[in-house]
Amino acid sequence: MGQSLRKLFDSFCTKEMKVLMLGLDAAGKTTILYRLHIGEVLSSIPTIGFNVEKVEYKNVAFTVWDVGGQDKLRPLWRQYFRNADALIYVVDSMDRERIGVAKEEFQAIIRDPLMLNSVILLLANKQDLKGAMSSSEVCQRLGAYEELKNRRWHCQGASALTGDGLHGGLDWLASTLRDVQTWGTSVRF
Amino acid sequence: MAAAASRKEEERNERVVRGLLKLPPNRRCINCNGLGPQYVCTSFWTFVCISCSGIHREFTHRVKSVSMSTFTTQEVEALQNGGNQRARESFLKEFDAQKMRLPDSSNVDSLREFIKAVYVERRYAGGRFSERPPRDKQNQKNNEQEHRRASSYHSFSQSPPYDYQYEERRNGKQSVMLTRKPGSDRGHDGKMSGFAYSPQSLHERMSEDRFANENSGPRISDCSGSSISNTFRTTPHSPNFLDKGCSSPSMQQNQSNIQASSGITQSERTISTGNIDSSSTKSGKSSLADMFFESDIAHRTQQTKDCITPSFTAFSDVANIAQKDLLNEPVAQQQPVTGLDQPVDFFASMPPATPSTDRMLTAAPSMDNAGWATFDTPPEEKQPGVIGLSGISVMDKHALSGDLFSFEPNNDQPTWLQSSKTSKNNASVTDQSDVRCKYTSSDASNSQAWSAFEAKSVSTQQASPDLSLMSSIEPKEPIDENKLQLWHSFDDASETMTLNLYNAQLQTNEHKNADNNSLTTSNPFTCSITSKVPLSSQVIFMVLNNLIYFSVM
Repeated sequence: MGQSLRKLFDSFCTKEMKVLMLGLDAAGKTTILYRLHIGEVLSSIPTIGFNVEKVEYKNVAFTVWDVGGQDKLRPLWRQYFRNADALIYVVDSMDRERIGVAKEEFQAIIRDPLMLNSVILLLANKQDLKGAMSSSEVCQRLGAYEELKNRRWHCQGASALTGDGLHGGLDWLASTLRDVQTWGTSVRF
Repeated sequence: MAAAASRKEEERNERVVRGLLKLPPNRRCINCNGLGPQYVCTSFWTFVCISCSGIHREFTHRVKSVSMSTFTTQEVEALQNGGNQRARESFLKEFDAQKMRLPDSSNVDSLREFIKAVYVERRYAGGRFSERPPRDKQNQKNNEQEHRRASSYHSFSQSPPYDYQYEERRNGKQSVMLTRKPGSDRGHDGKMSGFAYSPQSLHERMSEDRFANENSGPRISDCSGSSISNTFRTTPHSPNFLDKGCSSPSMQQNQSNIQASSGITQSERTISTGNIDSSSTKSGKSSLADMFFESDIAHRTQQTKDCITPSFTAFSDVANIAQKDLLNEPVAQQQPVTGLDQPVDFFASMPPATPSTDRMLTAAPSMDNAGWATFDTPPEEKQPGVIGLSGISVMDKHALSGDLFSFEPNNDQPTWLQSSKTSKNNASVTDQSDVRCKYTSSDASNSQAWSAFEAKSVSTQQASPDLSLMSSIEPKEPIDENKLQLWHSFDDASETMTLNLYNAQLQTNEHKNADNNSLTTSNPFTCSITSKVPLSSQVIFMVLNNLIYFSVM
């Protein structure tokens, strides 16, 4: 009874979520953002600062912050951590050279005290390119299996150019965030 | 301790990179020639601007910001060995800056096309790189295997950020992916063939590029150079014209042939025949075939403009022939022209070469030969108004010309308009006095006339002086009246001149360029002005105009 009522309530009520989208430069964050926002691939230039757009999906209004990922902009990421309900960490699956850098940055983010309560969506982007690492390989290379043992997290292969996998990721995000808001915590016991 | 050392190294590296940025070849983006590039494309070790860096990323080339990234020592060394000069020597080895222009940074599509041609297809890289794509495909598997093996060992070398195998593999892959699109692989076998396949797009590129760059180098020679290729290109596309031009023994026949050819430019053609008639009665002696070919080469800039539709090319060339006959001059005007008199030199040295300048070059010296028969006084009186070359007078001029053209809709001769619209040969419905009085009357009451035109032409008239000339012609294109044309042509000629001067100071700006592009490509008639006019009078007025202008100067 309570369950069904909650579902009914959810269907009428739109929730707002702050989502932080991070990743190395040229991972495809801005392209993903605008793919989600307007459904098209825009030609983008390297982001200096950030882009923020509201993306509504399945009654959840995601406020997605896409922050530039170049070397010297990464220390600024911390400024966006506060009140982030979710982290989307975008990885360039073609970029085998810098996966180590991506791992370091990723671990620094998820260990930050401000991010301990946020759910984590790993997007292994550029899956449309031949020779890209699979999503599980990306997870493994990022050390996600060890680092995220007691976190809510999900790994999703995606392609911002074709749009594949993006909505799968958002699906997971929407349902997870709904659960989290209902139960008040992101930590899985 | 180690952190301090690395920071020191970082600082040193950044200093070196910034020092490299100050080298003259690196001061401009290698792709779009934009000033002050702030990004390094670490795939090719070039300095690029931010918009080009975005496009490089689309092709999975690596870019790094100078100010927002850190460079390793290896990267700095590679950059010292690279840079724009080296990259130009390898990737743009066969890129002829005389013939083609670098794309404009505001035009993302042309930038993308250019970067694809240069770095993905390596169209201008010469023999050194031309065999690379197939080799890439062969090596691709091996490289991948290497990488897979390496990945299983978890041993990624972070020290050399760009091992070239990796780069090659990625490029090969990228080019495979890109050539899925039809027509994108046309550049592999040389640029001539590549261009021949897509005349339309080439022309667009050409016309864009003509306006695109602000560097004021050998502009006029550029135009002529590019039009050579255009001539090659367009001739096969206008077979009827070619045949007729070569075979027809007399002017009359040529005329009728061209009239017979199909297309929307019917009204234009009737005009041209009118011109030919008038001129050929004076002196139509020399062999037509010769004339055709030589005029074809001599009036190159016209050619570049006119090649939008084949039929249009034909038309302009007929006009050229007419001009030749009229002037009764031996061929190859352009070289003797430049030395002839002052105005010519003056204009030849002017950087912004709208095609009309070239037109002037050919027309100005003909003063010596042209008869003064068809001279009209009113334009002469009108001249002093034109002379003031300030921007205001230019704008006045626009208003005037706008009025001049806009009398059509609100005049009390609807039959004239209709007849011109249906493009008949009964051209001489209006006589000159009529035109003249209309002109003056429209001079007085000019405000509502503007509404008769589409917004486009109005806006461009205000925005870019260069274009306003063409766009103002646009509405009057159905006019069949020779004398009327004479008026207009005179107007336009003087306007062209003032505008050219005006433009020279202006240093064409990008948005205007965009306007130019869209207009020139969309409307084939915009360029008809130069070739459509009765020559003798135009020449006279132009010369007068020059003289007056220089006396004022």
